Amino acid sequence: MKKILYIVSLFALVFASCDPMEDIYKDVDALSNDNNIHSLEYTLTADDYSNIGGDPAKYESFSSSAPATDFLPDFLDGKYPTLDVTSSIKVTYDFYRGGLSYLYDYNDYLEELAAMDAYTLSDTDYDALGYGKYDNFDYNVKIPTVLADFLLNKYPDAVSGKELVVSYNYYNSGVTSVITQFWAFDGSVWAESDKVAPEVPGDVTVYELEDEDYDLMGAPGKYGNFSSSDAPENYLSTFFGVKFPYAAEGDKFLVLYKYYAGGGVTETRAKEYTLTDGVWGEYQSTIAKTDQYLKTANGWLFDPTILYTMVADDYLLLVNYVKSDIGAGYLDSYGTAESYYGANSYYVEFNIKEGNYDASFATWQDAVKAGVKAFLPLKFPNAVAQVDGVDVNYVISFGGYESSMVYYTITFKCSKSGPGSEFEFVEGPTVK
Amino acid sequence: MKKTVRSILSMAALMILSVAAIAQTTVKGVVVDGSTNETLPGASIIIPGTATGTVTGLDGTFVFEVPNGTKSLVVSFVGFLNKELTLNGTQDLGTIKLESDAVGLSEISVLASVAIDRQTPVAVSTISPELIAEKLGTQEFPEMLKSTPGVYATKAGGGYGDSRINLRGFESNNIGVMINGVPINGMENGKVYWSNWAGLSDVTRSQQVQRGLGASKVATPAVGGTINILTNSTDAKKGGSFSYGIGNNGMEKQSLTLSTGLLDNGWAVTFSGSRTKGDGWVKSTDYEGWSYFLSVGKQINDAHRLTFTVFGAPQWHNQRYTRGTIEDYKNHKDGSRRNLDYGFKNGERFNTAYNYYHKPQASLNHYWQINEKTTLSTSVYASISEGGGRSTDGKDKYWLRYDNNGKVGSSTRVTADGYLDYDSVIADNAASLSGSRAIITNSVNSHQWYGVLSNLSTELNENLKLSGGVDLRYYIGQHSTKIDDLLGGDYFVDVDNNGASKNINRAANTKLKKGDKIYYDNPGEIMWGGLFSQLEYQKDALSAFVSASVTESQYRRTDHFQYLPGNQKTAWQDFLGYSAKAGANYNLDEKNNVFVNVGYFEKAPFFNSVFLNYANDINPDAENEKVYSAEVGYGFRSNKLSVNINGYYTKWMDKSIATTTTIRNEDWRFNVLGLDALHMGVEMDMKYQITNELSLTGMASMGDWEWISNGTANGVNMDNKDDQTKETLTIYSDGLKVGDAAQTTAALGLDYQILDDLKIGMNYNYYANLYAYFNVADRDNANDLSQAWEMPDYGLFDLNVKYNFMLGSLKATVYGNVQNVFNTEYFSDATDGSAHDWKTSYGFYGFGRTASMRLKIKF
Repeated sequence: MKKILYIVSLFALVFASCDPMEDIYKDVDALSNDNNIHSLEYTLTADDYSNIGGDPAKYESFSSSAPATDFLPDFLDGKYPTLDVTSSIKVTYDFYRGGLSYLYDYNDYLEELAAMDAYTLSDTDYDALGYGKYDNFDYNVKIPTVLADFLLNKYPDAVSGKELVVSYNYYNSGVTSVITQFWAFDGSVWAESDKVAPEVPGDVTVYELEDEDYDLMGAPGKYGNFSSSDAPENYLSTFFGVKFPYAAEGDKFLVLYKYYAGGGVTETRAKEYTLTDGVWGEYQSTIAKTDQYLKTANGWLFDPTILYTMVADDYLLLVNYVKSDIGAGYLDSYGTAESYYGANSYYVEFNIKEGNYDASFATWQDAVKAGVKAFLPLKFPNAVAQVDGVDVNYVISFGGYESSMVYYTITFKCSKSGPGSEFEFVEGPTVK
Repeated sequence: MKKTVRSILSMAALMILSVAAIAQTTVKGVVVDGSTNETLPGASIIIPGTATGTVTGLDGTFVFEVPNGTKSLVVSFVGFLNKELTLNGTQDLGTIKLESDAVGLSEISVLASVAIDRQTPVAVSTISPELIAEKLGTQEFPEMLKSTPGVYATKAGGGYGDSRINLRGFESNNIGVMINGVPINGMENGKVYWSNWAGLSDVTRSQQVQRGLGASKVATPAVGGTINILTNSTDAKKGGSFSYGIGNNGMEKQSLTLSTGLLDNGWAVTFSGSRTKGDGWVKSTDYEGWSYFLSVGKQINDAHRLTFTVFGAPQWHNQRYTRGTIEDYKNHKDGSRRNLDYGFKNGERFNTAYNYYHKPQASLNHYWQINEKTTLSTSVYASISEGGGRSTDGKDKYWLRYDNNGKVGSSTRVTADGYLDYDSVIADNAASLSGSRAIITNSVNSHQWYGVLSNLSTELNENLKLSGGVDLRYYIGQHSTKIDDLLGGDYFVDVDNNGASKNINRAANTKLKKGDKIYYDNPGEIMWGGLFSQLEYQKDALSAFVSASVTESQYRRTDHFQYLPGNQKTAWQDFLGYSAKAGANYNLDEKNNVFVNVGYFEKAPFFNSVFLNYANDINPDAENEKVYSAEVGYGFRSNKLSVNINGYYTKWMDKSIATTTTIRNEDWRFNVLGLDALHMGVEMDMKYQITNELSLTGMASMGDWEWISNGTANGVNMDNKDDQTKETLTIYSDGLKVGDAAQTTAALGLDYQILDDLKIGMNYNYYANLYAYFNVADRDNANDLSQAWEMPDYGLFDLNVKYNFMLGSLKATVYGNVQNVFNTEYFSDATDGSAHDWKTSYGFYGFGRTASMRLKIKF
């Protein structure tokens, strides 16, 4: 009987320790629960702006005069009081960047034009002036004098400051074209005015819709204009896509179009369209922006970290740097790889197998560290060291090839703002 | 319970006393197996017509006080025919030989090289059919061996038949598995797929594991050991049985056995059949399996006996394939039962991991007693299998696949509930202008295998026996992938990333439909010729053997996809392997014995190592694997106690390993050379008969399994056959622990016969020193020499109960089993992660508590 008891108690002893996963589960819990650390994404709602108050509440957006960094730390603190240090939130909010001043000027200009009288010389006018044979002017005609006299007769009651748009036919080398000019009356004499269209930024192309363009768009083709029922924003994005299929990302157009404003009045108006991510969009004064905020011991801070993945051109940048500054002997015969840091733009990698970087580096990690340190000022010459008092980190991703491709990240911090930026090693490389 | 025990004990004592009051006679003897002379522990000796009796001790002996005038005794043991002995006063009955109740079993035992206690010099554990009936419960067949030394058996993904077993740290392709002496390891890769044999436990007569080189005369890949399974043959007695069982998760099983017994005209027929179905403990791993077994025996005359056996187990089962991280399991609603490999297709549950297979195996055994000294045993067998498993294919197959660590990949499509999102795939396939982008396929792996195994034995003199024979095989395996479901598309185009047809004999833009072959179609053929011989010496306490075998294997690969007609077959590739073994057992006295064995063998590399890059390219570096092994052991047998202790040393050289690595987005296939491993350890098992009713079993096994060299790997670019670049990797394996099997295991078991009809048992198994699996060929980073993640140790507790009763005039038995009684959560299978810790490793949890109950009625 005693033996049975011994055996049973031996069993009991062994079973006492029977939760093999206990230690691991403690760690799992520590990962997910004990520390309330999360990476979240959040988009501000109308209620959020009104809770924030001030200008953001008034306009439901932030702006350069009411920047998000002034308001979001407090807001996030109130919204997520229990998140622990190192949590991060990507906040998406509306940002008012203002209108385009040149576009205002241009629309003012168009309004002025609309307000002006226009006069087009008729056949009778050419006859009266003695050019009735061809009903046009040519290089023999002293146009300033002829027109000045003509307008004085035509508008005998004109008052000082009167402006006029004058159109006439002009013959040159077999071609007759219509010339449109602005003329002004100073109380005694008519003269061509110095009025010109407002200057348009260099990267903007001006395009005025033609009748065939309206036809292409369907309904607007009926009257050759847009209207409140055929609004331009309903057509223009598609139209640009069709009209300029080979436009490049970022191309900008100032489009001039006719708009039936009602009461028999058709106006000429202007909008700016930009090709972004393959879509033509009208310039918006308020846009969505996303910034990351980090929970730190000092509360929520705007995170200016730059995440960057090196592409082929970046490795080439380094290859060329080695060629010019370290020694052309390190380059391979194609000029696409160097064996000082190990950068290879053909394979888009650092070759980290021993013998593919200079023997002066003890390890490949040292070689890559030096390589990225050399690369950063070349790539980001105007980097800034701090944003709102927070150091700017550059987390660089690269491929390291030894016997297979492994992706790593290495972190540097901008230690001196550009131009002539400088960088300081922080940590890495670590496997991504 | 203590009270009951006490009252039963005192009752027994009273009975003995009352017997003692009458005049007594002492009878003693030793009960042995008539065909092998092996002692039979636990055989019962009863005075006919009474309940008075005794059982033999662990050394087969018994001493019995019988009342004066007792005329006879009946000796009985499971698996043997009863024997009645006439008594004549006090006497020593000497050796009592029991004959098997199965016709032809002893002949099969010889063909199968079944080891005999205190005679065959190998480390061995035998599982009796009674033990299987009592302990199996919801376990998979290989798990029956878990309480024997050196074994690590798990359910792997948890699907029906998806279990696996490692022996002394070696995987199934280095464990010889034989059914009735016929090797069943896959001819091409040596692996054993237990789902092919799902109904096997129903018809198993005995299961013996010989650790190390073993006693097998034929060449087997036995580096870790040999698992020798004998099925039922024809029963010598007429009758049958029916059983019905139910278990957790909707498990239900019916089985039936019928036997004619040995008829006067020399015929005997036995049939068994069973059906099992259930939902599976893991989510969406439902299954249905059938098994059939037919054995027909004919005793032609005293010299000739024929047995024909056919059995098979057609089944289908949904599987779990993708391994997950602990964190993901823990945070998932299904916990450790989570299965990522299914979703809902048109409203019906559908797995991407699914297997169906049917491998009938038929054999005709002929036993010829040529003369008193010479016998010839021959087995002619055939196995024709059909089946395969589900996979995914297409340019966007990753819509339906996970990252290999069980994480949802950037392309993986899952619903908000976490199921595979077939509906979105179906929509995209339907909208595609270039055919289905992701489809369901079946990877077909059917084969035909024909063999002859013949063994001639002759006694040269009283002490010397010579045997020898041939082992001939022809094998052809069909490997192809067939379209199973276009998932909403009208057709599928089988092209590579460059738009070239994967079948060069078919136009690239061929619109393929369900049932069409895609991706690959490459039959493999193997011809195998083996010669073996063995000389056995036996005199008094000493038995010894030397044996040798030579094997010629020839491989030929045919590729219908990558080559033009006329150029699709390779020449036969020849490999020569051989083995030499010797051993001796010496019985120091009636209680103590010692043994030693040594062996060396070279075996041909597997088919896949010869045709390296899934093409008809011959690997010039294909090397024979070499194994050297030595072992010593000690055994003790007394009436109450039996103990076995042994130590082993196995050195494995030039292990054949290949791996695929991605270099610059192209797949390279590497063949690794020069990998050596050393497996050594100590094993102990014991049984202690505390009282006639109470017995204790124990086992402890400590292994030290390590890679002991670095390797070199040469690679070829598989995605660009024109690439002549040489890539060489160094494999930094020296000093790494072998993974995927617990190096330390221990077990304790207690069986208690509470009443004559009621028996309970409890078992505890413990696993430690368990490292996660890793493909050693992937350890090519000089800066990463860390051991694989060491998984948490775990221990599991099982309970079983057996109750015999009479149902009218029929004998009935109820079996009850509970596995993992305390519902312990544990990780049973893991693949090592990048940081060699639990966070990055991924795998499967073992089953929680499961239970089953079975009623068996004999007639």
